[in-house]
Amino acid sequence: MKSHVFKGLLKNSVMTVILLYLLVIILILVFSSSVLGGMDQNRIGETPIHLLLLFSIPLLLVAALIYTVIYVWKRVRTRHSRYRFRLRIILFLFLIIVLISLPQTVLSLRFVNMVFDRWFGSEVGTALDSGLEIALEYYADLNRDLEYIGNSPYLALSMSRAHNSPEQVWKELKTQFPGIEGIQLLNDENFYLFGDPRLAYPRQEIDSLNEGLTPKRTLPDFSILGFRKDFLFAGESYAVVLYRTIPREFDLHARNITGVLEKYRQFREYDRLFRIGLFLFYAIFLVPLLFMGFVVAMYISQRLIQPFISLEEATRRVAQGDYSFRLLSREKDDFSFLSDSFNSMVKELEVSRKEVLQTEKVSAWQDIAQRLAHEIRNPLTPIRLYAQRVLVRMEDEEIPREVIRKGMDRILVEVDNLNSLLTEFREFARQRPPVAETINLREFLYSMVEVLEESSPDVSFMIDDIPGDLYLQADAGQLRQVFSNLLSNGINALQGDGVIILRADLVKKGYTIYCRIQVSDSGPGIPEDLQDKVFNPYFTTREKGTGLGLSIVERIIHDHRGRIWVESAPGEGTTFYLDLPYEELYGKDSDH
Amino acid sequence: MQCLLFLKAGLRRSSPQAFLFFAFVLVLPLFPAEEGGCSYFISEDGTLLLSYTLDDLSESKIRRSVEQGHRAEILLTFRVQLNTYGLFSVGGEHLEFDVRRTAYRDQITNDYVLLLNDREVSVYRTWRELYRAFSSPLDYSSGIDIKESDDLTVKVHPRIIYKKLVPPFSLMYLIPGKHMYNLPWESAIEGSHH
Repeated sequence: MKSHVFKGLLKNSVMTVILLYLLVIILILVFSSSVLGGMDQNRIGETPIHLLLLFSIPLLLVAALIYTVIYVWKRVRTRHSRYRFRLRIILFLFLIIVLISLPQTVLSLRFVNMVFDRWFGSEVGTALDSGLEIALEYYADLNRDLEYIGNSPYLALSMSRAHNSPEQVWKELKTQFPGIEGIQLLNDENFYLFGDPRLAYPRQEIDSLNEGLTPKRTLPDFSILGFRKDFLFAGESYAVVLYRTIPREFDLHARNITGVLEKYRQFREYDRLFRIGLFLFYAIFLVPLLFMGFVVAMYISQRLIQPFISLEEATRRVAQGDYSFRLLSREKDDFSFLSDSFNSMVKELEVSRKEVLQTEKVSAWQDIAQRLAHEIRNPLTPIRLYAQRVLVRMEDEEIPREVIRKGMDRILVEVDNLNSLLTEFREFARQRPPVAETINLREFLYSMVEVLEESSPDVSFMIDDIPGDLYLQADAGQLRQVFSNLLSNGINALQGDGVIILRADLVKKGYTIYCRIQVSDSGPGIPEDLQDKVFNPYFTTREKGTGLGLSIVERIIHDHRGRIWVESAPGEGTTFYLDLPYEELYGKDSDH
Repeated sequence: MQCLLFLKAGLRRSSPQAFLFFAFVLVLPLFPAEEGGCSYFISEDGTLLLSYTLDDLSESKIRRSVEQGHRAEILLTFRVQLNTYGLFSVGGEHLEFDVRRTAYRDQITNDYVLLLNDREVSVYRTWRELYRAFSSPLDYSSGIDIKESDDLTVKVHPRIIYKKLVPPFSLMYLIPGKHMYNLPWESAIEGSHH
């Protein structure tokens, strides 16, 4: 498979989940069989890498799981609603998975416990002990028989004739005790064996045996029990060994019983340890499966939240004025209706906004033209009057120089007014974009207020509520223009003595933190019907005002991606609110 | 891809803990307490004979285990590397096999039984006799034919199991010295012919 095909497969989340799932299952199978196989063959620890992986993989998976939860949780703590929603989905789905697997886990453990209790319960122990007792009884019976024969007077009597006819001793014993299957007779010189020759000990081994029962010997077909007895007749010592056999089946059954009994005792001895180990073993293999559940929950949550993330991004772009932005809509996408609806909404919004803009533009030009005409006409009237007066008096022979000077002075004043009006208009039209720099707001406002305090000694400025560590990124020149306008308006509104208060704090709106600055004066306030018009160009209530000051302020604040509005109550004062961007919370953040 | 990414991140984050765990597991088999000596011989008919002697065994631990009805075992894993240099060919053979000497007490006869590779070798009436046999040098005929031209390397991995445990309790062998002493691999010394 080519690498790009494989990468393509991995990019598909479903394929990734399936591949990961298969990998986990294979690892579980390989390692479990390796460990269990190693246990069976007493090869525990010979391949530590298997054990290492067996324990480390679940640990790593748990670590990865915890890391992801902490990551999402941290995001939630920074109050990002997207992550809160996602964490909820993940936890909800994970909870479902856990709840589904919980009964199975409990049932499995209970079942294993029950089976363990049945297999290794006291009943089984009693049965095994009983089996062992039967075997012991049977074995003891055989030994008792041998001891009885060995110590019987009949054997002693028979042995007294052994030096004459050893064969006769065997025949008599066989007749009297049919259970005897072999006999060995030996003295210093002779060695006799009667019965099955496989039963016999070599001579040197007999010499090493003590009187009484001999150790059991196991041959392929049967086991042999023996009893040695020593006699002394006519000054000659004899050793006689009697033999009986135990069938092979008895040995096999007895070995089975003792083997199982040994296992049983170990299980009883380590009962608690076994149960704990069983639980841990189950947990080790459960962790990867729970991890898979978590991965699936992650995947589903990602899939569910992705359309909303896209929508959020699109909304932000539109809010920033990008009406050309469109969401991609796929046929297979479950939330394609959302994308389609949003796209058509933005399209309609764009059309209507263009219309509104066009209308506003025409209206603005009309307004400006009207106001310009008005403002220009105002000085033109006195200019015309004085010019006419000078022309009329020119027909007189002697024109008083005083009249000409007065007329010319007035014409020049009006021309200057016209010039300053046009300069201000040009400034308003040629507003340059702001160049941001770091400004300490408190220091900045103090420097402005200091100048104004000198020129307006009757006005009290209160500025103490502004934190000293509040820094803004703004164009200092333009900001100076803003506060100069606002404070001048405030001073003018006070008409003598009064108070101007400046405050600042941080507020969060959407994903942005703003610095909110308040400029309040204790003046007469603005009538309610005029409050909406204060930012309109050429709107003024003062005789000498151009009406462009607050328009310029609004324009500057808008250029700083901020907002300005006014609240006023007649007779109580006026407050201007300025929101300037302080910090963008998630603008540059990537999705988790 | 996302799950692979956070798996990777998880691996990175958990590395210090994982390192401690790895270190612990790797150190587990490194607690040898007993020492032994291994030698090999080539018999007259060319068969490889192996002999292993344990210098010091904890008799009390073995006895306690056997008297309680458990088994004690000396488990030797031999690894034979056989390099054959012929006229036309150079070949190698790698053989590995286990030799197990087990001691236990027959619960029916109360005799002490010695097994070699699960086959009964001897039955003893007393503990002393059994222990003498159990701790004696273990001679084993491997059945591997060796030619004079063969280059031979023999290694042995001895383990002394004081208490033979059934699965899954055999996992307890991983606890150093509790039920099993795991000696390191050692090279066998070439001995003289018997």
